Amino acid sequence: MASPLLDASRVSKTFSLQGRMWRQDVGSIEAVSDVTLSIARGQTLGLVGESGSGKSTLARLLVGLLEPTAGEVRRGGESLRSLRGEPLRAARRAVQMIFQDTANSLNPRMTVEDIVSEPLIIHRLAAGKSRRDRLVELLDAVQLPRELLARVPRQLSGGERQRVGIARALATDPDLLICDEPIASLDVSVGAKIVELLRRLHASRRMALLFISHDLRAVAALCEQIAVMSKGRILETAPTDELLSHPRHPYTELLIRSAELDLDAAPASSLDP
Amino acid sequence: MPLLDVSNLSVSYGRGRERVIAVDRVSVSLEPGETLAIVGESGSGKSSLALALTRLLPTPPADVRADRILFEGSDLLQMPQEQLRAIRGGRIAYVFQDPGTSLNPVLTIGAQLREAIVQHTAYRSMRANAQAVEWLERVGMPSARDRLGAYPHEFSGGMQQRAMLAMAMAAKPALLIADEPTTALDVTIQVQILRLIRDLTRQLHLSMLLISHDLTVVERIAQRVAIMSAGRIVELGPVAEVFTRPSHPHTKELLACRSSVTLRRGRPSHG
Repeated sequence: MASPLLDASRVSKTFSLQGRMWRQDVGSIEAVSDVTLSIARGQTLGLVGESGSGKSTLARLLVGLLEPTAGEVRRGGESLRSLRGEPLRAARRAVQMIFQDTANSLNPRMTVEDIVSEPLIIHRLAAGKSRRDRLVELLDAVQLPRELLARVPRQLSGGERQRVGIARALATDPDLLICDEPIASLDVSVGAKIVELLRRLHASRRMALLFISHDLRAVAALCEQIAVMSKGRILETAPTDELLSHPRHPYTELLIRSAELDLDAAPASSLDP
Repeated sequence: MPLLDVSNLSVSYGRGRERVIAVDRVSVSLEPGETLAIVGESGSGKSSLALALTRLLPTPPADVRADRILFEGSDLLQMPQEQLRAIRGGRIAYVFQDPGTSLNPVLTIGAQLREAIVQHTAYRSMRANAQAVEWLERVGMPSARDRLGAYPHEFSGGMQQRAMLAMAMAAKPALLIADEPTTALDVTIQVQILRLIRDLTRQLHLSMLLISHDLTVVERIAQRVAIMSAGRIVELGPVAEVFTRPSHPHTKELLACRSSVTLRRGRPSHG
């Protein structure tokens, strides 16, 4: 069997907390604990969880922005830790990421042209005339007009900025796009168009998607498989229809009912401590 | 007679060529006990409308005009500031999206609740304290008495919103203006707070103006809905009618963007 595009085995990430005075360690928090997950070529996997469940930390571990405290993240069967030089750069090109906060994930002083060109330059993918061609092609892929190339992020709407983020991610022609709450800050109609774009890119490029969201409705509409995360752990992973019709974990059942806004099933009193 | 009757309300910001019209000649009315939802995307003017009703917008930069804003028979536009202040947080209560910034961080929950009670009701000292506990219990706060001495930061977002609702309700309002009251909350908490708001408005026969971008939330708790776009109400009617037979293109677009609410296919939904 071919190795999965990306897999994480028993990955944990612990952050140490520092005190207000003298910066002494006052404890630690395990944001991700013992997570095992794999993404196959061309798959769409949804990762759903509430705030603080560890889903963004997991995304950063998978893309390599954070190092796990324990466990291993592998690309095509090879540990990220063991990769050096060109194989490491290739692994980085293969997995790209887009973010929730489009205002802060794009450099405010760079034009759209600079932002989307940067990965092409860093990874030496295209220069001169071919870079210009590639740029236009990327803009077309995310349905942005060429006139925007000279603009800076603050001259764009939230939806346009997210499309720039997607174009930048597509520049290295990745096998997997990790989307961390890509529509949470957008208006409903704008978010729906971004989801539609991701769906199209997945189909046309056979690019796998890891779609991270707190919104089970959006995840269910886009992904073939869903993983449910709570308190740093993945509680269950199942094909979307199966997860929705036969949730195995009580928390999944609670999430489904909450997403359906079943008011009468909600407890009248707070369950918080 | 409607509880609230707004006629031709306009709000603009700035002047001259910089002038932006946020709300454009909006007329709405609200019956006692009724929930009317105002739906729109960001920038559609729905929050400006909510704030302009009790003249909460600083003028300038805002410019608020209307033929009338009748509430319980008096025109809020003509009312002296003093009297208006008594109505805000009193007969008209507000709940906002972010309870963390609506609550005073340096006062205990008990102190803030007592202040609302003393300000707007005849209860004093011991009885105000008892009222505070009673309202915290009514909004589903576990071990309410022990919570009086807690500060807002000791509460989760859901608990803060419950405390906000207790403060709003303690003043015995006739109208609740809720501006995206559950948008900042996790989904499992959102459904609890929505249920609480629905139950309170029913039990207390409260009118509510619910500002929301979420059509499913609106479907669950409002009787009528107004769709706002670029400062204007483009469609207004009973929720069931607007949702099944939308007439304005903007309403149709909003409805088309809604992902399915029924998640479980081939299985009867609960409740």
